[in-house]
Amino acid sequence: MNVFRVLPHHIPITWRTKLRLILVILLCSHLTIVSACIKREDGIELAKAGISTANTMSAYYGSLQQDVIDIWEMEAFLDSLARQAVPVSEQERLLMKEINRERVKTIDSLNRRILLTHALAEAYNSLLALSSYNAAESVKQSAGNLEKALTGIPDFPGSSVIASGLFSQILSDLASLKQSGEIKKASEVLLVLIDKIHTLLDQETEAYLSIIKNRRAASQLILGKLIEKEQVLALPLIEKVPRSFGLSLVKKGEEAVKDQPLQTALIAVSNAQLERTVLLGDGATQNLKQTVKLLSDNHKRLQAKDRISLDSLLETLNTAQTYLGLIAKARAGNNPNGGTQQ
Amino acid sequence: MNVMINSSLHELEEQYFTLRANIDKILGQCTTDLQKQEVFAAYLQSRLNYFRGINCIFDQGNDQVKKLTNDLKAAKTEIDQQLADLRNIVKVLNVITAAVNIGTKLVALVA
Repeated sequence: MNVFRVLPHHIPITWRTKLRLILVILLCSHLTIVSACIKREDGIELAKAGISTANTMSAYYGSLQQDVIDIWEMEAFLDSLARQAVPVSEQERLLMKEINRERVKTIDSLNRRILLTHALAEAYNSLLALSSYNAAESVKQSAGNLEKALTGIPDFPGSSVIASGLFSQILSDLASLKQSGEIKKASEVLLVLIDKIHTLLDQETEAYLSIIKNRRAASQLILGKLIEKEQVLALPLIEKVPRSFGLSLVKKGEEAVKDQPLQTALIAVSNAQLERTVLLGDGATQNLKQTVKLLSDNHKRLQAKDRISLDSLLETLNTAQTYLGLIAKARAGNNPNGGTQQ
Repeated sequence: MNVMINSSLHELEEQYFTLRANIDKILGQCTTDLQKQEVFAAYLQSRLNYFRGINCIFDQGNDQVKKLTNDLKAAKTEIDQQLADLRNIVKVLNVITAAVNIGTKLVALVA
């Protein structure tokens, strides 16, 4: 746009020059204001996406933690069936102790990651506060909450990706931000954290997937044994088929499945369910990783003063949430009244 | 996806899951309680190695890690061969114990 052309020609030349200058200044101010508004709006959207990502990650780690607990119980059951009356040797007792110590270590590690996601949500709350209004007090409070969430988080075992000191640094960086204009600085601080989390997820994906597979394999073994030992009713597994047509099975009194082909078919159905759970677990893992990657990409866009684009992020986040919901449902045992335990 | 197929954890997992799926069959071939205890101890050691593998990160670039991971993979093939014919339980037990010991050495590198 040529601003000089809009000035009427009857205005004297010296005045016209001055007016041109004023118009240029006004235009520049306007552009600066518009740019600041865009960043504020983007900051809000990015912060909200960050909070949702953190909450979904928390549910994911909670689901893995439950898997580890389930595996522990299933293996105790399988061990008991396998060894029958054979006495436990001292060596076995010691090994069991060590194994349980490792299980607790895994549960603790996952718990630390849950705390990490809470801290991440708090950090994004700070970004939200900074982006929403001049909220020095609110940011201070968020930083305070973050400090509380991080208190007592030890180093991450087996991983040097996220050093315990990193959080203190982020905390103090965030606490020092007091102005809404410091959205960029807050985003920069969060980018460091989100990139570290992405590296952590990358490094640990195999372990997460192994836990999911382990639960599936242990469940399959238990179900096979129960069916083989004629300890299950066919009804609960197959009754949902007629139920989906609005029909119900005739109950002739409770009787275990003894028919060999039916036993095989029951195992096939349950295997399909378990296989689906593994695929969902894998899908949740991959989509979460992609979400964190997209979060990082959007932080970089914000840093570069580009408009952020959250469509893909919200899609992968939604998929991860859906898969986690389905896993929780499957864990509740297809019970129509079953809880939504994660 | 940054999952390395045939990585150390994958091999520990393969060994442990195979032993767990076949423990009844193996124990069924044992003739004494002592043999059964030996089988069970090796099985539990394999489980311990697997959980230790979950709790640590292997440096896949490390030569020793690479060698032991390859050895573990080869040992799994031997276990599979033994599982196909369990009649010589002493041999089966030796193969399992040797394979589990490789896993123990591997996790000791990062413990």
